[in-house]
Amino acid sequence: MYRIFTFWVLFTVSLQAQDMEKTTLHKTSGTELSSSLTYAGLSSALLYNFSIQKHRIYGGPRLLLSDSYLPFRGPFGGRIGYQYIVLQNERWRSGAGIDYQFVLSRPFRSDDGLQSIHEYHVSYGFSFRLLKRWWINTDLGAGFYLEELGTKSNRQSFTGFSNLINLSVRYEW
Amino acid sequence: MNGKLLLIGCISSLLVLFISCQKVELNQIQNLNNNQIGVIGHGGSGFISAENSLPPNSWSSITKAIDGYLADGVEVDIQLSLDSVVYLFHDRDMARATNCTGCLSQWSSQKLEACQYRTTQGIHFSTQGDLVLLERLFQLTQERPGTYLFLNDTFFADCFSLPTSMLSVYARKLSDLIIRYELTDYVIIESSNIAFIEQLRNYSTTLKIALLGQADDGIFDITSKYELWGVSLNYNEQIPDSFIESCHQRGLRVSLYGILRLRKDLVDAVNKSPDFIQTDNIPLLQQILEP
Repeated sequence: MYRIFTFWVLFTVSLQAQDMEKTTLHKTSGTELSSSLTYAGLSSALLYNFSIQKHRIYGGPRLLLSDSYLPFRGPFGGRIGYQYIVLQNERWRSGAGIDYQFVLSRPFRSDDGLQSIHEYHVSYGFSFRLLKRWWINTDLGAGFYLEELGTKSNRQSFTGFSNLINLSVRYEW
Repeated sequence: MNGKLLLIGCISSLLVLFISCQKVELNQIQNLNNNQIGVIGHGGSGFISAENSLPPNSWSSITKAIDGYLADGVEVDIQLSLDSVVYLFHDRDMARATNCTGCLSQWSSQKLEACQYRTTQGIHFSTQGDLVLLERLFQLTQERPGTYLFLNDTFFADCFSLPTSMLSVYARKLSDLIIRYELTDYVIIESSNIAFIEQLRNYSTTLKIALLGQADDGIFDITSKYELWGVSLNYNEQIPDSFIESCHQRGLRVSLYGILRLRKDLVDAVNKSPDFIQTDNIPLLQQILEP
């Protein structure tokens, strides 16, 4: 995974290095629909983006699809992150960032507390401008998770490594 | 405006996707388990996948299922060591999953203490990598009354020099352990080996035994002859709905196993009204069964 990640960073940098045209980022906002694969499973998030100069932050609710029977039942959670734009031009942007995702659920047949999975990643990704305001974004990342299961009175904690693969569509205005 | 359209379009797509999917009718479940379906973790909390890096039958996997997910029980694979100690392990050759090689039954328990599960990327930071003794699992279960254990007999005949005599030893060891820990109500031995089932019955008439078989009327002769508790059927093979009903009419519980981690498969399995489902995705099955 780490070799793939290293190749990914070099690949995106080399792609953008071919185009010498530079643009200046202004303030932009946007809506993004993302699908990501992490330790918790496959999830979908609806994110609000805000970018200013070389900084981009995003956040929004998340639904864990791989553990979801009916959408209104969840499991629900959230996702927030920050990205620093390293390279950018008219059609490409790439940057490094940090990403935090979490999901909450109830223990089976119990109301004693909530179970949770917290995932922390560092990532590198690039965005490609499809149309004037539409972007496709991909990220690869690595990090770790903290999983807390069981009831409040009998908590079981697990930690381990986690990887992040993210694909999203963004509309900016 | 286009941003709003994107938002509306995404939410609508998700709703259509889920609303059009098959659902379960929990009040239509009819079985011999008080019309409830027991959630049984396959190999503990499931076999290794992108979302689960714990080795099956490992202590971490088992405790995650029982104490973490609050599953109704676990299914584990059992094998006999050279000095007749019962271990939890799935493979015929230990090399794939551990730092040891060969058959588990070719090693004494003293040598097996040095065997550790291989760590893989994504594994928990502090996993206990030792092979697990069945007795240790029984001690845990005694402290958690009502937890079901499905013991899948994994008997590789080519690993023993005298396979027939080992069957008798195996049956006696298992029987002694279950009776000693007073777990006859919650331990179910799964086997497709008729000779082994016969040996088990020779030692005890109270052991709960499930025949690992196909959805075929021919199995009822065996279940009747040896007074079996139930049958374990492979979900991936065709199981007519009427067959499970026939089992229930004969007083036989039904446990489904196989590749059961996707929503579609789990919903379909639930709608067949088995008594237990062995799954690699405990949280999803629990969600489906939550009223």
